[in-house]
Amino acid sequence: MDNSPAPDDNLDRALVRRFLDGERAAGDELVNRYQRSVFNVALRMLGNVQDAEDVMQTTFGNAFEALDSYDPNYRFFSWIYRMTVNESLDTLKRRRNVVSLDGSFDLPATGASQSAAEAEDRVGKALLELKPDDRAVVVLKHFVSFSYEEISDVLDVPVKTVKSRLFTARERLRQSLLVARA
Amino acid sequence: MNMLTQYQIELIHREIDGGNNSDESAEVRALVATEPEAMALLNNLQSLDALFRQVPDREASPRVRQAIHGAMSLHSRASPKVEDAQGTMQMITRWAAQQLTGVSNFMGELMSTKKILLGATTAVAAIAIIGYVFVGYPPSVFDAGTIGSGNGMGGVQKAERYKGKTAETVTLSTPEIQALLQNDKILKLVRSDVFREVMRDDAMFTLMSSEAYRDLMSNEAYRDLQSSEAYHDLMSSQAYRDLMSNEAYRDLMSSQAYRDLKSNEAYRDLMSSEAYRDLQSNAAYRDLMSNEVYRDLQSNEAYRDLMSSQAYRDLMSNAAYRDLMSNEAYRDLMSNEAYRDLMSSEAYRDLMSTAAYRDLMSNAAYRDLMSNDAYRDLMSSDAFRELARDQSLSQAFLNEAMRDQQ
Repeated sequence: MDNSPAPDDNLDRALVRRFLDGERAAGDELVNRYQRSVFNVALRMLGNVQDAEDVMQTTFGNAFEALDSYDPNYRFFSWIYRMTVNESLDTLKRRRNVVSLDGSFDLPATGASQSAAEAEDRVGKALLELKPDDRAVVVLKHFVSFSYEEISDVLDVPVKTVKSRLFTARERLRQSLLVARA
Repeated sequence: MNMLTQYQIELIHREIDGGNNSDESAEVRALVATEPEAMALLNNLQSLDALFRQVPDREASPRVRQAIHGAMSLHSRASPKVEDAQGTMQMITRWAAQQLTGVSNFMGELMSTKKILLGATTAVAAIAIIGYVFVGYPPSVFDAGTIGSGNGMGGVQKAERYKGKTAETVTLSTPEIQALLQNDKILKLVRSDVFREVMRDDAMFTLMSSEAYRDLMSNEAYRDLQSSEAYHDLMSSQAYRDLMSNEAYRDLMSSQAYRDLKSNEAYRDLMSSEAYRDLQSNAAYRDLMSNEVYRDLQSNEAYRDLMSSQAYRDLMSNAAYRDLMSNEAYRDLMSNEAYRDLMSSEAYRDLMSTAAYRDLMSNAAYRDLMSNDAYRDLMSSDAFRELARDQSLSQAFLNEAMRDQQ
């Protein structure tokens, strides 16, 4: 499910400028615009709520600390999602040094329907079987609904690479989620 | 069956992604009409896409969201509240250190008054300060206006959390805290599963936010205790550090008997009874604690009152209590000189007679904490014990806690 904010570069730039001018509410609005999708990107990358919350906080903390140096020629959403993905990848690396992932997927129950909960469980586990770089592309495509170009921008890789990773990852997901299950 | 070419596969993927122009979409339609494999792939990808769409969106916890908004104050350059916020951060840091010591004190005190253990004191304090700085609680104290009210600092701790990761980004105002946050032992503790369990524990959070606990933190007798020589001696004693690495202590902390005792009504009644408090402030009892004149105690009125109280008798008949009394770690503690000094100190006796202490003893949150599995697991974890054994760290925590009381 994608509830990510529609990219609005002008709005984001204006909010950044107002925040840097001392208007705290503008910062709050930036957080409000992106916190949900940032959290969900991190969650799908990591499969763990606690880690995703850590990433979310770190991402926003880093973003606001570095906002002075933010180049408005770049899109804010690319910037914030890039930090989210990078922080998630760093978390995965740190985690790998401690415990094996073993496809572990740790999400507490919510009020979601059974079918939604089952879908989340299946997709979550399948995502964790992907290579992190491939997973990032799938997450940005399917959970934030980014175009190839936008994913390319966020991950700082060529569009061709985005497509290659996405198609490869989806083939694996297709095998694990659909073919093997049939 | 004809195999699809790479181009055809990509064409179908792009169709799913809405990346094809009208000609390419027409090409896909023609392909799936003639190639069963293309049809199967398209159907599969559509199913996959539908499955992704079923996955519900999640929300981070309100506390985390609040923390992010709260951290805004630190970064709002022209905000008139920035200076205020930074000052508040310093207060928070000190406050956290105090909380830290406070938790440990009272846990230790609970133990000591029950003649169990005065253990884990300074290290337990680490829970609060590290927990606060790294994980982010208790915000409700600030929300309530106790410290830094109205300046949105409820979540400032989170900004410090990631700042604590690298030396160059640490901006906490006191060098001691900076050093603590970059200490390997602390980082090890923070990264441990048991620590995270405690940080997520509602009982701990409730305790920190409780009125009784805040009263206690602001209690003069309590502060006297913290600044007492006896307390410092205890913290720096070899016996204390030995205790932290003592197997019996670990067993005790994780024993059912200990847990049962903590939740025992008789035990709690005794802890908050007038007779028991009188006994604590009695000189003869203190002498007993120093292994000297037990006979004087026998003739002491407060002692006799205690002995004849129902709460005491109930406690004596409690199996968990008896198990505890026969515990080797407990007996070692009883013979510790620093511990006996503490027991005989004026500050300690004052503390025993405070209303705040009684409030704490009857505080449900505190009792929850004491009987909390995660908390006990933390107390007996290797990471925690390693931290507790480090004298310089203990001293650093104490110094930070003392700073706010001067």
